[in-house]
Amino acid sequence: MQPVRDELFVFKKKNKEEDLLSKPSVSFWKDALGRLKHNKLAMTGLGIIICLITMSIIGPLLVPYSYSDQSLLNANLPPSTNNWFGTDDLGRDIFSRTWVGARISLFIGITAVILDLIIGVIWGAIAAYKGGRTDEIMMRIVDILYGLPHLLVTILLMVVLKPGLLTIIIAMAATGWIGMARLVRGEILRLKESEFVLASQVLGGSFFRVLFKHLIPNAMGPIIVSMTLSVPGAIFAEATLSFLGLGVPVPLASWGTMTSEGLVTLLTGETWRLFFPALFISLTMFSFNVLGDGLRDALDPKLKK
Amino acid sequence: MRQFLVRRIISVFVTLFVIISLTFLLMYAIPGDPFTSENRIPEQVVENLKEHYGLNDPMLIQYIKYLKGALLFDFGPSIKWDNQTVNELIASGFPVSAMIGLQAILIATFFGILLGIFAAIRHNSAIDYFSMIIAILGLSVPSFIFATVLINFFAIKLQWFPVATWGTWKHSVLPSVALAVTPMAYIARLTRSSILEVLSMDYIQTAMAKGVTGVRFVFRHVLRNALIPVVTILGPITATVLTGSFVIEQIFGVPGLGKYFVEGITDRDYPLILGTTVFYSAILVFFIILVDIAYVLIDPRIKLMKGRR
Amino acid sequence: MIKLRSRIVFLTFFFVITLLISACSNNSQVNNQTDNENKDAKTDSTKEQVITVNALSEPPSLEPALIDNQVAGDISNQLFEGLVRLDKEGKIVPGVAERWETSDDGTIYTFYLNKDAKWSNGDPVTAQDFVYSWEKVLRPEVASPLGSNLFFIKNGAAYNEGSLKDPAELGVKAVDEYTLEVTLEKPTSFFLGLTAFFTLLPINEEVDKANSKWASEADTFVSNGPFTIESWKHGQEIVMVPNENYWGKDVVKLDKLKWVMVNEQNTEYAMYQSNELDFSTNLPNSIRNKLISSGEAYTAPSASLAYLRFNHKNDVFANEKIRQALGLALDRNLLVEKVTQGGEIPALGLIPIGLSSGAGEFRDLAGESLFKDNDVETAKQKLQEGLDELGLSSLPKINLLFYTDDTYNKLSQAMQEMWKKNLGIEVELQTMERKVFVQNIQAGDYQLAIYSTGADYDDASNLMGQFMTGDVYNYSNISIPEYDQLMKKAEAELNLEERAQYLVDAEIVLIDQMAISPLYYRTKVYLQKDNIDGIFQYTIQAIDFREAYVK
Repeated sequence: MQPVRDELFVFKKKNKEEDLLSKPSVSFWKDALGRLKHNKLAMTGLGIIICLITMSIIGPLLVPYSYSDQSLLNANLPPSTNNWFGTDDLGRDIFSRTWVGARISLFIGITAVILDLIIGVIWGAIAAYKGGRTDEIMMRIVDILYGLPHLLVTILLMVVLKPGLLTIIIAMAATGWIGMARLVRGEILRLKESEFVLASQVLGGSFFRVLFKHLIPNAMGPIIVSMTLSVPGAIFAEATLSFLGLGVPVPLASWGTMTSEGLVTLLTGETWRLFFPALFISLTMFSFNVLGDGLRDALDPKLKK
Repeated sequence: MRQFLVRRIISVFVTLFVIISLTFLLMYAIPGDPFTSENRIPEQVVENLKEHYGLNDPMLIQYIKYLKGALLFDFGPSIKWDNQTVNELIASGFPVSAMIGLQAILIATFFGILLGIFAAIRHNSAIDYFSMIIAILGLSVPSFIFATVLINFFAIKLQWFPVATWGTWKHSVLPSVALAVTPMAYIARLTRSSILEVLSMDYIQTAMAKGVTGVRFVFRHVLRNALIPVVTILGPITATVLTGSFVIEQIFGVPGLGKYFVEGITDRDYPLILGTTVFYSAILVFFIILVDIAYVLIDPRIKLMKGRR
Repeated sequence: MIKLRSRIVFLTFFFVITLLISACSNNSQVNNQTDNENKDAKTDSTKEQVITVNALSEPPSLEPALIDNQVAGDISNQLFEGLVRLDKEGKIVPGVAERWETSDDGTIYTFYLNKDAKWSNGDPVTAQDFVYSWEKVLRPEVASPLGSNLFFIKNGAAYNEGSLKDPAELGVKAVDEYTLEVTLEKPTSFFLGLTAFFTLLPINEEVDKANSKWASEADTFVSNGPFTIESWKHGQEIVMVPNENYWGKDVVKLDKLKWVMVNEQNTEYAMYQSNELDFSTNLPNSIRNKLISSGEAYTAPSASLAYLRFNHKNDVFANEKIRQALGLALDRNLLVEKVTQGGEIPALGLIPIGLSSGAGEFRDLAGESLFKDNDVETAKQKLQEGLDELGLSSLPKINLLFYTDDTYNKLSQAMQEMWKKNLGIEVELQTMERKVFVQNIQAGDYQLAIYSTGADYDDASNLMGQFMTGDVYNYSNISIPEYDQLMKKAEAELNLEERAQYLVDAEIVLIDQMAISPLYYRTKVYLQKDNIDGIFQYTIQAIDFREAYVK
């Protein structure tokens, strides 16, 4: 094969070529959005997420109890007209705690998604696309972060920082995105040898242009799956970190801590304490998943029939 | 390939060196030492203990001893479990954790991929939703709750399996299942998405249009091309699962490695922290290398050594 | 396309079917096996004398000198026997020592050893074995974690510190092969009982000198108690069988004593329910009260107190009235009934139930309560007075520190609410990893903390020294001259009744000022199968299975 020499491509048309290449992507996003809108299931998911967020704002206002009001004599009451979701072991209203907890858990879940996207995707994509030594160094950093004993890091953070949401986010930012980075790297290692990428490179597409216009969009499938699946992991990680004294201080609630504390009810029988937080975590998961699936289908032009 | 391996093995040592050095720093940066306790222990007793375990040596000496221990894979006696060496603790715990972990990985991979294939081929059908719901449950029910439910149902109610402890193969079933659920859900979702993508590729569509079908076709072309994401996550997951889960092993009273990762740190058992960290990191980097090799085997176009022109 | 799909569906279907079939066949096998095993287990329990108990986790060491926790102490107590042992009621009865004499001033004990006492390898248990074992505990290089239990012996502390090098100067001597003479620093009323404690158990000198790791494996283990180790799978199981060479082997009825290692409360309870355990001491907190009130679980005192630690260096908590306000505003009955739920007893004094004063049980002497629980009116009044004294209009925000723990997590929230409701005080909660917490307390870096303390030996003074001015364990920086004086008088007093009275008075001084605020006394809560009997439990000493049997 003849070596491809640069002068072969010194065309004045170059700009026009690029325009041509970028044009479909504008309508591509529009198209995708249109397709997404017609996906009933995905729209249901979106609706549920909006409902949950709304309830997290107004929910606690619907009942006369605050999330922290205790009534030890009314502990562990089953759901009733007074306490719609029942009460917990300190006699607190679970309905109110569920929606206060939603604020923290949804925030943590969405933050995890954003961290995944911002750090994980970009880290993995650059490592894979640059390749060679850059890849080696970047991925070894990832291995080091993953290999360090997390509990040690957590205890150190607990000592150094004040407990709170920000501390949890820092703890999650340290390692939460690593899975995503590895996943994206694997996909892009494969994709970067594809004809369309080679073509785009040959046509003079810049590093970031090829990365963001061609490589990442084509790796969207695994990215979306990994993103949606990082939500419950983050919700439970928050519970562990809070229990260790890193997160939101008690008596503030979160779905994660409510679930962990609900474990004992499998033995004692007040299962509503476990049921409601678990239900809403599952519902959140469901919504993110159907929305993710819808998004995936919508972004995959080849599925359009 | 040989050049790749040589380079990687050098980088393994660098990676491990950085991990254990950082661990050393972290270990001494956090408050408390092995003998910090609420009990009223006389100062002179604590002093004797520190002297005994060489904790009164200068930091640099301790660090050198520590590196030497890591290099020779000899970490000396544990401070908490003082009648056993760290090597003995790892040697007795690892086979147990590895057995549960291996079974869990096999269950997770097999059923995960199976569910994923089903879901993708019957895209947006009842099977697809069923597989999604299983995945959602698998991920939104924490493993400690799942483990408790398994015990209540299979061990107490049906009495098919013992509640806890270790001994026969039967003892390993429930912990393996409990451990497999989360990775299985993950693998199922990833497989589904990748297969959907591959199925929509031109060459597959063309092949199918030409009537190329059959099991071999699915495995050689569809699954093979869809495997990269699954292989990617399998690497670190396998390393983690093989070295034991603290929660699962505690719930099932299994004498595995998991608890040493946590208790080593809460006890500030320095030799044990060192030993478990080196052991885990070594297994981790091993599986990460395997993943990279698997990439090349799955898709020979992938070139790991090559930088971007 | 359709063909492909159907092929794949068929293929997967085939997989699933094969799998189900193999799973089913496995299941039925498993089922049969379990059935057989269950039958075996049932017949076993009627025929054979086997008891299975939970050791929670692998004992860090079973060599008496190196033991630092209760579990290992409990296990070693079945394997070794000290100079004396305790009977069912907790009275001191002969162990290796047949009889003993005390000098008139109470500082010299002479023990005459039972000549039938033998090690499991057939060697006789000699006075020299005790001299060797105790010297080993005190040897600085051995770094025995509970070595301070032998500081009552003459020169014990000095030898352990390293300032005295000659072991011959220790107050323990073998007069002849079967006569042991122990000289104490000063009269110590509880010393005799202490010789049954696990740190003071003997080891075989020759065995220890020949192989320093003899205590780590079953086949090299040599002991002198009712049981020996038949097998020891580390981290998993210890199986004990009666010691054929034990002098009192006739009272040992068990054929096997099995220790499993499961460190999870829910699992332990599940094992007890499915008859995999005969005796269970680590029940899930949430169901302890239920099991106690239904009569399934039993309770025993445990000589441990949970309390609120005030930092007296803090300006606010230096004020007596503020401390009293916080202490009185708590409803301990409700906390114990509804929050901790572990069979605890509300504490209205410092010294836990079951602890001796040196002249009878301390709480019998001092009375049950030194103040009124849930005295909100007085608390409000005290708060106002305290604020006036401090010149404040309201309390600054208070931080309550506790270590990561399920019970403390709930307890702290309930107390926070009580203070808010009863006194209108805002308390902020903060949890920390255990060792970080301890370090913070020891450095005096806290305002208010949940803490607990337990007795190491059966005497109230053991818990009281830590609140004296300048004591190394006085992390609260308490300084009450009156208390110090009473404690010093008690220390110097040889008459046990008068000494006890000083201790009682000292407790009143301490609690009147709420130098600390007691919360609750812990109890041991345990389940025991109906067909099991003869297990002896004590407030401080390790559990005893010597005379346990299956009915």
